Amino acid sequence: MSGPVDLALGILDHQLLDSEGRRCGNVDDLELERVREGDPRVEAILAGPPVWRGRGAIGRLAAALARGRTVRVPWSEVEKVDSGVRLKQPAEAYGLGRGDTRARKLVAWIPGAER
Amino acid sequence: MKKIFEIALGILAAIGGFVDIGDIVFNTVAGALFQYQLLWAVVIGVGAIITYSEMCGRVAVVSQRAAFDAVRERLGFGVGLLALVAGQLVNLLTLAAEIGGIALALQLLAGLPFRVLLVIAVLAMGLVIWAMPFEWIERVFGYIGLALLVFAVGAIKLHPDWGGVASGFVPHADTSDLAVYLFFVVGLLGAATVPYEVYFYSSGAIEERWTPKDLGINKANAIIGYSLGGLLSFALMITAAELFYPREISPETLGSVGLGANVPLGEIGLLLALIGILFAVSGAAIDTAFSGAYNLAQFFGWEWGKYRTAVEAPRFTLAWMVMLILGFLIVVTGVDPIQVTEYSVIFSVVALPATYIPILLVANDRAYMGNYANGGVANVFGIFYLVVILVVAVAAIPLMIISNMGQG
Amino acid sequence: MACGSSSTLTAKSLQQQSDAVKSAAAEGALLAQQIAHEETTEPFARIHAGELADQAKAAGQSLTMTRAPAALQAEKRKAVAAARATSAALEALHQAPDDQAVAERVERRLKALSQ
Repeated sequence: MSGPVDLALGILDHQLLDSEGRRCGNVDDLELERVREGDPRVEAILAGPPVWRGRGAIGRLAAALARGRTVRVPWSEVEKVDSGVRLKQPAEAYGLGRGDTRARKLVAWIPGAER
Repeated sequence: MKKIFEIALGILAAIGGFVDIGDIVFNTVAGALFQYQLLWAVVIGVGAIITYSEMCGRVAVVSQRAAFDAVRERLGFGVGLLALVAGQLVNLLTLAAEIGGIALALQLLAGLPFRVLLVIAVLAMGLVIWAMPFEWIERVFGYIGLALLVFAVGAIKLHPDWGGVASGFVPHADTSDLAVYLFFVVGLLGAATVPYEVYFYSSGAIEERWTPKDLGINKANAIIGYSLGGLLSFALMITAAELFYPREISPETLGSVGLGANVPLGEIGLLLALIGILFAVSGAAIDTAFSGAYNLAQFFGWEWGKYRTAVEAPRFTLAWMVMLILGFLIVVTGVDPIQVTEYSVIFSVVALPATYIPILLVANDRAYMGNYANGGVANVFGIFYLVVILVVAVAAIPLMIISNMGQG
Repeated sequence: MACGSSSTLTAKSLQQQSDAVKSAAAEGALLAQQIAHEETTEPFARIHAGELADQAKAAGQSLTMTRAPAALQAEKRKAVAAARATSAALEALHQAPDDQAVAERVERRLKALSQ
C-alpha cells in the first residue's frame, strides 16, 4: 500500500515518532513509484545520512561527512500523520534511532543519568 | 487565582532572564557615549523579541514543533543545514561571551584568578543543567536575576534629566560620529533579539508541556515580561548616561557596570548588581547551551529535552555538554570576554533573518496552526520587525568595519 | 583597548589614546571616591582598579610604540607622561584597595589627570 504524493511531500523533513512517541529521526527523503506513468505514489520513507545525497549539493556534502545507514520505512508502517509522522512499531524494529543507542552507552556512565 | 499567580511567576522569571551579557555591555556603552539618544533602539529591540517570542511560543504549543523544526521544514535540508551551522557558530560565540561574563562577575565578587573562575563557572553550569529540573532552572536564575532592578533604583537616584530621557525615545542623532551611533543601534537591537532566545523559548514551551490553554500565559509572559525586562536595559543606559557621559568615561569592563550601581547605592547596590549580573548571565549561558543542543537535535530528528532523562536523550545531552566545553575553550584562550560579547552580538544580527523568516512563515501556515495562525495584528508587527531586522542584518558588518567596532 | 596601530601616529589616534587615558583616570577617580568613603568592597576595588590601570598602561604602550611626526612629538610626550602617571595612580589603588588615605590622594591625582 502506498500513499498519495501530496500528503507525503507535506511530510518531508518532518519528525518521525515511534509507537511510544519517541523521536527517532526525520523524513529525509521519500521513495516514489510510478512517477513516469504520471501516477506517482509513495512507497516508503527514507532516513539516514546516505539519503541526504538526494537533497542537493549541501546534502551530498553532509552525506560524505556523516556516518550511518539508510533506513527504509514502508508507507504501510505509518500509523498517522499529525504534528509528526507516527509509526506503528518501536524505533528499534525499523533500525531507527541507532545514533541514540550508541550515545546512550557513553551517557549511561555518568551518575544520575537515569533520573 | 492560581492562574494569576502562575502568570506572575512566569513574568518575574522573564524579567530577570531578559538581560544577558550583550545587553549589559551594549546598553552601558551606548549610555556612556550617546547619553539618552539610543533609548528608542532598545524599544524596537524589545518589540521585536516580544513579537517573535509570542509567535514561537504559539507555534510550539499548537504544532508541538519547536522553532528549529520549522527551519528545516520551511527551508529544506540544504538551506536548513546552512542555517544550523551559522546558528551554531553564533550560539557558540554567544556562549563563550556568557561564560566569560560569569567568570568576570565572580571575579568582581570574590577576587579569585579569572581562569580558576572559568573552570568553576563551567562546572557549575554543567552541574545545574544535569541535576536541576527545567522549570527550577528558569525560576531560580530568573528570580535572582531580578536583583538587577537595583540599576533602576540607582538610575532614579542619580536624578536624570527626565526631559532628556523622554527625547531619547524619539530617534534622533546629535553626534559627529554617525557610523558609531548606527553601530550601536545595530548592537542594541542585536542584543535584545539574540537568536538563542527564540529557539530556547519555543523549545521551553514544549519542555514545560504547555497546551493551547496556556497560550494566554504565553502572551502575558512575552508582552509583560519582556517589556519590564526592557526597563532593565533602560536603567543600564540611563545609569551610564548619568555617571559616565558627563565625565567622558568610556566603559570597557564589567567593573564599570558594577561602578554604575556602586556610586549611587553604595556597597549594597554593588553586591546586588553583581549578584544580579551573575545570575542573569548564568541563566543566559544555560539557555544558550540548551539552544545549541535543541537546534542540533531538532534538525537531525534526535530525541531531545530536559523533560526526558539523560539516557532517553543521549545525543542531546552530549550536545549541551560539548557546547559548554567548547565555549570554555574559546574563553580560556585569554581573549577579552567583552570583545567576544560585541562580536557575538553583531554576528547574531547577521544570522537573525534565517531565524525569523521561517517562524513568520510557519506561524501563518493554516495547515499547521489551524485557528491559531497569525491574525492581522501579529502579521503587521511580524512583517514590520522582519523588515527592520533585514535592514540591520545587511548593515551590521559594514557598520562594524566603518565604525571600527564602535571605537570610531 | 589598542586600536590597530599603523607605524606612524596620526592626530586622530593620538587623541583616541589620550581620551582613553583620561577615561581611565575619570573612572578611577570615581572608584577612589568610593574607597575613600568605605562604600565598596575590597575584591571589587582591587580587581577594577587593576583593570583601569591596565587600560591606561595599554594606551601608553600603544603610544610609545608608534613613531610620531615632528608636529606631534610634544603632544605625544605629554600623552605618554599622562598615561604613566595615571597607571601609577591606579596601580597604587590596586595595591591598597581598602586604604582610605591612599584613595583620597589618588582621587585628587586622577581628577586632575582626567581634565
